[in-house]
Amino acid sequence: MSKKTILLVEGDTDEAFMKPIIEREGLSPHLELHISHGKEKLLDHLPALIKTFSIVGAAIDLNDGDEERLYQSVQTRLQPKFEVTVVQPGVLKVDQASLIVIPLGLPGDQELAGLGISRHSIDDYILKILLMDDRTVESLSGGRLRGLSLKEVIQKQLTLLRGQGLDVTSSKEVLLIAKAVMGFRASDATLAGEVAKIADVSLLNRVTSGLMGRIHQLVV
Amino acid sequence: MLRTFGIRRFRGINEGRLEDLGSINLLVGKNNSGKSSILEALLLASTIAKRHDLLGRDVYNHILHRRVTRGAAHTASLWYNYATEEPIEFQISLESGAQVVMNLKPDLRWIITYPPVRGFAFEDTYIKRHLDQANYEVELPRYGFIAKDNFDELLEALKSTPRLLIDVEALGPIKMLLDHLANVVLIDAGLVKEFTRIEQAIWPILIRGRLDKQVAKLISDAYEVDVEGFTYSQEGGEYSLMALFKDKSVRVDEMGDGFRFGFAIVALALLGKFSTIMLEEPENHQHPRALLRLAQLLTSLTKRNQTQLFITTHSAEVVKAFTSSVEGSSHILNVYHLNLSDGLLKARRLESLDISVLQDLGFDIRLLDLYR
Repeated sequence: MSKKTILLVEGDTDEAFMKPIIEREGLSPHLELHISHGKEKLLDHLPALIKTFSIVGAAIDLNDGDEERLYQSVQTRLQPKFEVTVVQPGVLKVDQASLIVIPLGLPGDQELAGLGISRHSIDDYILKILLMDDRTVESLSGGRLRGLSLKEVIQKQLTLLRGQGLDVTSSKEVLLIAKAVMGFRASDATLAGEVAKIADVSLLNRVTSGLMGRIHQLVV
Repeated sequence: MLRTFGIRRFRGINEGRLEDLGSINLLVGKNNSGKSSILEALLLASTIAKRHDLLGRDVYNHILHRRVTRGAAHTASLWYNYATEEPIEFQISLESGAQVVMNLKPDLRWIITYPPVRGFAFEDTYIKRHLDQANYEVELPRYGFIAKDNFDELLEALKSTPRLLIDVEALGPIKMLLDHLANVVLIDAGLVKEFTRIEQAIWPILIRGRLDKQVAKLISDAYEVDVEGFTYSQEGGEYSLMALFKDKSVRVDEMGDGFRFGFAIVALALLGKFSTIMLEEPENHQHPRALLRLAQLLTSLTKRNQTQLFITTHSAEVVKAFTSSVEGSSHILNVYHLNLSDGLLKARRLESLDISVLQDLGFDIRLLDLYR
């Protein structure tokens, strides 16, 4: 039996979205997700994992979109306790272990940027798929939108909110609007899981190609 | 306290080492990963100081026979692959930093080497002790044998030997090691079957000074019973230890296995001044609440008596009980996750903080070998 690699994630939504994709890719026998419940806790948990396992993955929200800054923050956090060397961007040798940092989010996506999204996380992938995959939206909304474009409805809502002086800068916030529009009443994590399960596979692969590339790197 | 313990050519372990030992050391791992062998190795090492333990057991014979279910036990069964050509070797480093190497030859002669010993007359000479004899001896090329009944006398004899160009003071760590190993006990499931031994060894200490009240309180708390004390009395023509309840008294050896095992742990830990207590699978017959209470008791005694604990377990409850019992204290709890392959013992050491994190993340500490 092959040994599993640990992938530490920040929250329930990360796990709910990634798990079905990992299963579809046939990686679940090789990869196990564990939830830290927040970025700070994840960084607190890393030392114990690094001391215990030979390879560890950590999926962390990109937030402001600067990958280099994210890698640097992880490195700075570990350096007092461990000998850290950078193998390549996002791949660190920490004492005897390898740490692969997987940045979450789509900072280069023009469509999301057009919606004013500047803070990035796993929600970027979910929102992006909903914006592109009408069949998934129809399935999740139970046909409630009846020919309306989810993107257009969201844009109108954002204009209204911004007109009231309310700033919306993350996909997480935009997804709340999307959920309300679709009449989807379950949790954010449930929405993430449903999107990962029912979205068009080729679209899903395209949107998550960067993320999955890193995950494959983890289980090699 | 031992800081490292290395093993060569003993039982299933051809080579292995536990580093950075703490005051409480839990050994986990799948079957045949070397857990019991480590306890037996420490117990065997103790025979260089004492052949019989507090309970009057012949320690060497106990080790030799405890795994044998049929036929006779052979000395060679202690050697890795039954290959007795080379000695069993234990490398021990003490808290002081001193390192001592002990070898056991198939003729049951212990040989101790201690690197700092210098001197032309001593160069190729070691301290020896045969398991069947009480005396320690040194063979000095120009002086012949010096043999004495105990190590203190041997040191005195060496000090008073004229023109012996060795630093006798440098042998101090061996004396420390022997003192440490003279007070080692293994509490295993077999001990419960020999309950008479526990009774006989314990009752004089227990009854004197009414320490039985203290044991009764701890036992009552752990097992949710109302034992008020213990007494040693004649029952049916023989003496036995009785647990005193409010309205009755019951022979302790007639109580359940869990209670007797718990009693053995509590009484030995509380009454014996052990340098090392080894517990083999304490989860046997124990309710989680009793396990937690035993862990709390052992943790507090570890500090009070300067005792080092080695515990083998397959139980997540035991790991949790000890992890929670050291929370907020200065105790050093280590969990060694063992893996034994082709005689090579690998021990992955986790500290209590790491264990808490891994448990919070949902890992089963016993199954870490499932991961890269």
